[in-house]
Amino acid sequence: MDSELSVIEKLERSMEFDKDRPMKAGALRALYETLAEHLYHQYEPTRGSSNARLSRDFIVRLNEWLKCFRSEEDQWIAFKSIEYFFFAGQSEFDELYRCAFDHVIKPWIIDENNIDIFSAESTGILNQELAKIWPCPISDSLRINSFLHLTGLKGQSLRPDWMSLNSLGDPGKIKDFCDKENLKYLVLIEDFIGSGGQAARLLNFALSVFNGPILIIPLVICAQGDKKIRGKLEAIGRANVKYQPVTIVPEVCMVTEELQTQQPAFFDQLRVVLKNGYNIINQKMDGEEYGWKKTGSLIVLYSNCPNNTPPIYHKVTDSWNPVFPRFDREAEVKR
Amino acid sequence: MNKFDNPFHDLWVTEILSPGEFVKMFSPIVASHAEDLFSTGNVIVKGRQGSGKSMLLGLLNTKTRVAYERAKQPYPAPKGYNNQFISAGVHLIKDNVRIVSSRVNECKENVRKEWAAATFSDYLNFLLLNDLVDNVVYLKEEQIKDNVLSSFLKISINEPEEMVFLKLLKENEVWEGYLNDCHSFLDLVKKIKNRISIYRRYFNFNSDELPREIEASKTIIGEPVAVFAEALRVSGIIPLKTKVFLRIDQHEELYELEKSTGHADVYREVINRALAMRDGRVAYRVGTRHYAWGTNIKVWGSGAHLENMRDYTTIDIDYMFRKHENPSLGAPFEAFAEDVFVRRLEVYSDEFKSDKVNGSMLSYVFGNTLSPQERAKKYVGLKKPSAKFFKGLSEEWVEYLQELWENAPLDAWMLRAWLDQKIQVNKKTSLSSSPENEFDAIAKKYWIKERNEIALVQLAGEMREMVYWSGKRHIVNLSGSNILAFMTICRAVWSAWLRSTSDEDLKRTSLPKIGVDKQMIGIYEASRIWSEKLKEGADGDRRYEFISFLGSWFSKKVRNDKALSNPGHNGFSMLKYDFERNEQDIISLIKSCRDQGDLVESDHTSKSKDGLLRIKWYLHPLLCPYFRIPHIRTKEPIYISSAELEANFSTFVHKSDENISEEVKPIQKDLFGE
Repeated sequence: MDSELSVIEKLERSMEFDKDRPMKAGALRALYETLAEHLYHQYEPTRGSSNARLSRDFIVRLNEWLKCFRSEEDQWIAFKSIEYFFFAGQSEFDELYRCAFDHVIKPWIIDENNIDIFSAESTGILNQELAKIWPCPISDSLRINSFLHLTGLKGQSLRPDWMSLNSLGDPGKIKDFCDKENLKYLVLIEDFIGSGGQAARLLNFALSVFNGPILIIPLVICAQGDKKIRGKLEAIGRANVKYQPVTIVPEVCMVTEELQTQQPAFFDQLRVVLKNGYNIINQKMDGEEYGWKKTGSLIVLYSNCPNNTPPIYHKVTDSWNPVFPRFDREAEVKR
Repeated sequence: MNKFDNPFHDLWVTEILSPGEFVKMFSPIVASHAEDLFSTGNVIVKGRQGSGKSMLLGLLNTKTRVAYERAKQPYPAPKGYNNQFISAGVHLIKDNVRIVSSRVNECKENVRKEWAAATFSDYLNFLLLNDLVDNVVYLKEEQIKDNVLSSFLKISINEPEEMVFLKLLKENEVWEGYLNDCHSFLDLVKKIKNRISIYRRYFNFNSDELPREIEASKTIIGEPVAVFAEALRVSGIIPLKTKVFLRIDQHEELYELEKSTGHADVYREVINRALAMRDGRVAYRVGTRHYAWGTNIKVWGSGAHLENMRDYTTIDIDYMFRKHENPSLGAPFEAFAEDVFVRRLEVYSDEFKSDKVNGSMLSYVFGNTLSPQERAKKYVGLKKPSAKFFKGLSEEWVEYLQELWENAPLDAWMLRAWLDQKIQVNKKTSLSSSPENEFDAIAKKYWIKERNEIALVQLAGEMREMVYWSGKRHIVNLSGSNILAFMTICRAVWSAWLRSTSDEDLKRTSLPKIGVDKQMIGIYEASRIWSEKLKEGADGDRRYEFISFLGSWFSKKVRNDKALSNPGHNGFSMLKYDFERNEQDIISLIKSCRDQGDLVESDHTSKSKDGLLRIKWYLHPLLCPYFRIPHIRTKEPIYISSAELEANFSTFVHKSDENISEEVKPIQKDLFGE
């Protein structure tokens, strides 16, 4: 019987290309098993599989993905590339929520109101002002309820995502709601922003509807998206809009078309494998092998894999079994 | 049992075993070769990490003895041992004895050492006393239930014995009046526990100073517990001839403590003082590692030294399992490994009972090690040798070797190497037209045998294949007579098998037969883990660097020896006087590696004419897969002086010699390391 881990086991034995490969492969496999038990098993599009062992579930999926490549060298590079991923799990998001509240929202309110933090009344004033915040997600991927539960921020009865509002919302009604509820501040939060195109477009709408102070907080944002949003806000030039991400993933961590200074040299090899895999997938996609708008982010969230991540990692087709299958709005994920 | 778990997951179980589990897991093989453990004198149990010292000392524990009796299992002691003993003990790590040093720096500098010694002595005395009391009380309570052990160790704590006992205790000056207000055994128990509690509060900075009552009644190491033991016997609480053993486990913790606090040698010298008392009232059992015992046998406060065989005897577990020319001198490690393996599996699941297997369970699970010829065929498969393999040979030789390669690639490889040896080169044998008559394989039986492993390593390298390590013989040999190494291999191999087996297959499987490919992966994993473990413990970084150097050096030597002239160059040898009289860094590093078990040391009966005594060292066998060198020790090792070795090592460290530094880099994570 063929082992379900045939490719990984081959990498752990093969010295065809590199005499140190078996040791490196063994160490990486052990690392991935540990990460799978603590982190990767949280990946929602594949959670709930029947396997009784968390680590094996991931390792089998990894093996199935590696099988899709045509050469052992490509399989090795793909296998190794997982080490470079930033997987934001549930605990990471809990911490991102906490940071967003304690280190971004609260200081912003304090600054907006010139609260003297050494005065006895400061806590009372801060709490009063926090109650006037309308915290909303930019898109429905940010779980606003979890954010409110974990931070203790009260929130409002309506917490619509502004992508939907942009399409379906009535600006008049939104203004009425803000007046009625005495909402003084709008806080727009997003779990992940890649190239920033969608978020930048949304800003026009949000800024046209809400005249009060606005705070925009991406929890994780790629450098390209960060640049785009800053540029957009600078162009708009409205003084009472603040933009402050919690985590900016720098370009040196992305597999960009050109090798940047300080990027790992390994990305040169990875770039070839992204292309080879993209060719096997054989579907035209925006950003081609680098992912949406050529972002090339090596990022996975526990809730889904962004399409800014290269498609070899997430694209599901009949002949391609990705390691982090993406739950597309259009396509069902293969478990 | 959960079939998805690994029975070897917990490598260190001694500390977490219940007495009942101890009975099932304990292998009697070590104890049966450790008669001294039950003798009347002091005993030092020495061994490397994971050699089984704590397990052996745990055998003396009263709870363990009770468990054996109740399970109706024979107590694993040598025949005719004296069973009339009770023991108490302190586990220096679990009992956190380290905290004694927490407030030493509050004393004036000129009295720090004395204060540390006096406080440590008193604290340790009371820890031992406390455990002795607990053991006596425990055994009494158990005997009420079912008279366990009472046929030879009857505990009797009634009023008459109690009064005599208290009188004997209180009239002894050792207590400095501390026990004067004790009027019952219970008072005594409370008083002892209270003193420990006060100490702990103080060491944890929960009180500003030690009460005067304690400062003024500190006791000399060993005295109180000796007095206490004698009073137990004379009063009749324990039978008159009962021996009292005091276990001190993890003694090496004191070595580390001395290093980290700068109170050089104080704590170990205090223990030595207890041993130097040669007190018939109690006998000590100290569990330690080689490095912690060998370097300091001075006695605190006297300047005298402990004398082996007089103040103590030694049980060296590593020595016990080393291969001896006279087999009666040691114990068979293979039998020990088999026993430990079987017990671990049997405790884990009823499906893993040894009676389901005919013969060795190790052989059943791991199979037999492939013969050299079989391994060679696996390396070669359908591959052909490279053109350079045939370079400089007559047509007849080329044809002959090509044919041989098809059926017996190892023979072909060896024959080619033989042709490269000096004698053959001088005789121009490679140009012969009748190759079949040149090499007499029967006459060269030992020449072949000695070179099998190095040839296989070379052949695997040439064919770009992993060196095969698998099967019972390899697993036992790679363990290097160390049970922790053996268990590390078992765990990694079992994991490799578990990982590659589907849930459905696992549900159907009882005792597995693990395939060669899974074993290879597991053994490489175990080797990698073992090499990473080098960084642990004393001198970790330096040892790691030195072993990396040796591994790279040997690996290079082995691979470049195309004529197979030096099959023993996976070890090195040094003149004994060079090693013992010099004090270079390299010498202390070798000693440190030896004491930690990274290097295996033995006397070297040299073939050189000078007749000078030599010592040789090899890597721990489990490091060999990582460095791709043979684990077999054969023929002559590399001859080198300490100065040459130091220069070579320095070259490696500073990476100025490409030939050394490029061969095998020290183990390191690859991320962002390109």
